Amino acid sequence: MSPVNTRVRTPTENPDANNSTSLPKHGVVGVVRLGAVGEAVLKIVVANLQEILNLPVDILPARQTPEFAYSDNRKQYHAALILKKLAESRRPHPRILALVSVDLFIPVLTHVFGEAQMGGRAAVVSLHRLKQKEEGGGVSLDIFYERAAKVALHEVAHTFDLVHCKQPECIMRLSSGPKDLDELPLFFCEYCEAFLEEAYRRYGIQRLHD
Amino acid sequence: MDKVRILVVDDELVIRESLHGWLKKSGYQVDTAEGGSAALAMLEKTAYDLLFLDIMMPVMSGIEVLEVVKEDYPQTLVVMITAYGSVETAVQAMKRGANDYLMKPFDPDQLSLLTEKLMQQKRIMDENIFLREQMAEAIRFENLVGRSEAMQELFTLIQDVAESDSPVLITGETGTGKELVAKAIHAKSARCNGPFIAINCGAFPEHLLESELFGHERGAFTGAHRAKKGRLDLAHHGTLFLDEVGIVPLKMQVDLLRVLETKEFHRLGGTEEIEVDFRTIAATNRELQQAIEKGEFRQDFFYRLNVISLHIPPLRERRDDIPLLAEHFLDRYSRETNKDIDTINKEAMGLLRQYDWPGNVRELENAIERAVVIGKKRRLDPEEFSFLAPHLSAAAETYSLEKTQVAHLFKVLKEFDWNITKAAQALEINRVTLHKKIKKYDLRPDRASS
Repeated sequence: MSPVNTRVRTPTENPDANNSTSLPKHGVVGVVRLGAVGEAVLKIVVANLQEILNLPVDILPARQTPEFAYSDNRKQYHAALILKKLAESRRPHPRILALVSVDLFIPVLTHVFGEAQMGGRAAVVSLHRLKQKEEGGGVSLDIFYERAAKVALHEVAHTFDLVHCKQPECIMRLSSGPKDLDELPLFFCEYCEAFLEEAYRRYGIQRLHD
Repeated sequence: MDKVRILVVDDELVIRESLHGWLKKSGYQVDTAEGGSAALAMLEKTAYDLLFLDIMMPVMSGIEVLEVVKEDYPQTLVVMITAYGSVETAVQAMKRGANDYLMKPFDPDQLSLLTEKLMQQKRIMDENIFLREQMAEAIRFENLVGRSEAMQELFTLIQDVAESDSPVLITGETGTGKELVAKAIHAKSARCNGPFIAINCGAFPEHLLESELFGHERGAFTGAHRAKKGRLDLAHHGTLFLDEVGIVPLKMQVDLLRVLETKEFHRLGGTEEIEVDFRTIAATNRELQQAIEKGEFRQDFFYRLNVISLHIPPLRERRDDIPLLAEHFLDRYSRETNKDIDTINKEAMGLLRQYDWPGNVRELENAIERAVVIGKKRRLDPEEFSFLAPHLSAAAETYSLEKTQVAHLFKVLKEFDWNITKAAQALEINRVTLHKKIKKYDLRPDRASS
C-alpha cells in the first residue's frame, strides 16, 4: 500500500487561521525532526499519522541531532534517553514523535527502528536502517517512505497503550526486520482500531473526524 | 493461556529497564529483579512462564539461580543472558537445563523469534500438563489415587466386585481409605442411585449402636420420645457400610447375621418385621481370624461378611503412590484454602517418601493440609513438614555406605567443635584426608548431615 498523501500542517501555518476547518489550537501529535531528516519523509509521516490515526498532527520546528544520547561504546544513539528528553518537552502536544536519521539502540538490543513510551508521551523513529535492503544496498524512495510511515504509526500507537498484535494484517504486528516491515499493511486491524478508539476516550483525545 | 508472565533478572538497571519496556510492548506481563535472591523470592510467590536470567551477577550467579529454578519450578522456561558471550558459559547453562541463551545486546529479530518460540514451547508444556491431568484420571478411581501395582489391581477388583451384589469385606490399616473403596464399589454398582449408608461401629456404645442400626419405636427405652429409622432401614435399595465391624459386640453380631441372612428385622421396641434390600460392605483393621480364635468374633458372621475380600495395602508398602497422593492433596487444599501453592520441592517429597505413615493416606492428607495452611510460598519445602522430623530418624535409616560415612564425619566434627586436628585423631585418619572429605561432601557447621 502506498503512503497517504494528504494536506498536512506545517510550522509556517498558523492553526488559528484555520478556524474554518475547526482545527484545535494545537494537534494531538507533534512531530519533530532531530538532525538531518528530509522534508519529504517528514511530510509523508505526518500525513499518514493524521489520516490513519484520525488525529490532528503538527510539524514542530526542527532540532539538532541529539548528541547527548550518543554512546561511545555502541557508536549509536540511546533511544530511551531521547524519549526521556522528548517527554520533558514544553510543547502542548499530548504526544511527541521525533524523527532521526541516526541509528538507535536500547541497551539490551543491537538496534531499534523506533521506540516509544508505553502509554507515555514520547516516541522516536530512526530512518537509518529503513533506507537499506535486508540483503544489502538501498531501497527505493517509495519503500523508504512507506517504512517510515509504518514505524511512526506503530510507535505512536504504543503511546496509546497498544501492544504488539498477533493479527497478520495489522500495523501493530511485531516485525522482525525490514522485510517483515514491508509485508505489514499500513492500517490497524479491527481489534487494534477498537483499542485505539478506547484509548482516545480514556485519554480524552479529540479525533480529527467523527 | 493467560497473560504470559516474564521475569527479567539482571544486576544492570539499564538492561532490566530496556528489556522490560520491549517485552511490555509485546503485551507480556513483566517484572524485574536485580539479583538472584530477589528473583527466587518473587518466584516463590508468582508462577512465571519465562525467566530472562543474566549469567554474571554478583552474590548469586545466574547459573546458581538456574539450578534452583530447574529443581523447584520446572515449568518456568529460562533464557540465560550474558554480556560475556563465551560459548563455554552458555553451553554450561544449557547443560544445566536453560532453554536457550542470548548474548547482550540481542538482535531484536532474534529476541522476538526466541520469545515466540519459547511461548509456543510453553503452550505445549501446558497442554502436556492438561493431558497428564486427563491421564491421571486413569490412575484415579472415583476418589482413590494410586499408580502402584497394588492399587491398580485393587481398582480392577473394585470394578469386578461392583458388578455383583455379594457382601464385601475390606481389610486394611487405619487411614488406608477403606470407606473410599466402599464408596467406589457402591458408585460403580447397580445400586448407585440408592443411598450409601455408613456407620462406624466403633463410634457408639453397645446400646446406642443397636438403636443406630435397627432404629426404635417411640418409648422403646428411656429418652426414645419419637420413633426413629435405623441405618438398616435407611440403606434400603442401597449399600450399608459397616466400618470397624471387628468391634461389634458378639450379641449384636448374632442380630446382624440374622438380618443379613433374612433381610428382615424389627426396630427396638417394635414387633413389625421390616423387609430391607441392601448390599453389605464391611471394613476392619483387625485380624478377624485371630479375633475368631479368641472367641471375640463369630465365625458364621465372618463368613457372611467375607464373601468377597479386598485388602488395601498400607502406604509404606506402596511408596510410589506417595508423590501422586501428595500432589493430589496439594491441589485440593491449595484450591480449598485459596492459596497459590503448586509445588512440593524435591527434598520435601523425598522426606514424605521416607516417612512410614502409620496413619496411612489419612495422615498424609492431614500433613499436606497442615503444610498448605502454614505455607507462605508457592512451594512446600522440608520446613513445612518439620512436624514429621521427630518420627523420621527410624524411617531415614540408611544402608548407604557413603551416607553413613557423611553422617559419622558430621557427628565427629560436631563433637570436636569442628577442630580438624582433634576430629582427625578421633577418626584415626590424617588431617589432609579429613580436609579432603570435608570438601568432597561439602560439610559445614551450618549444614545438617542428611
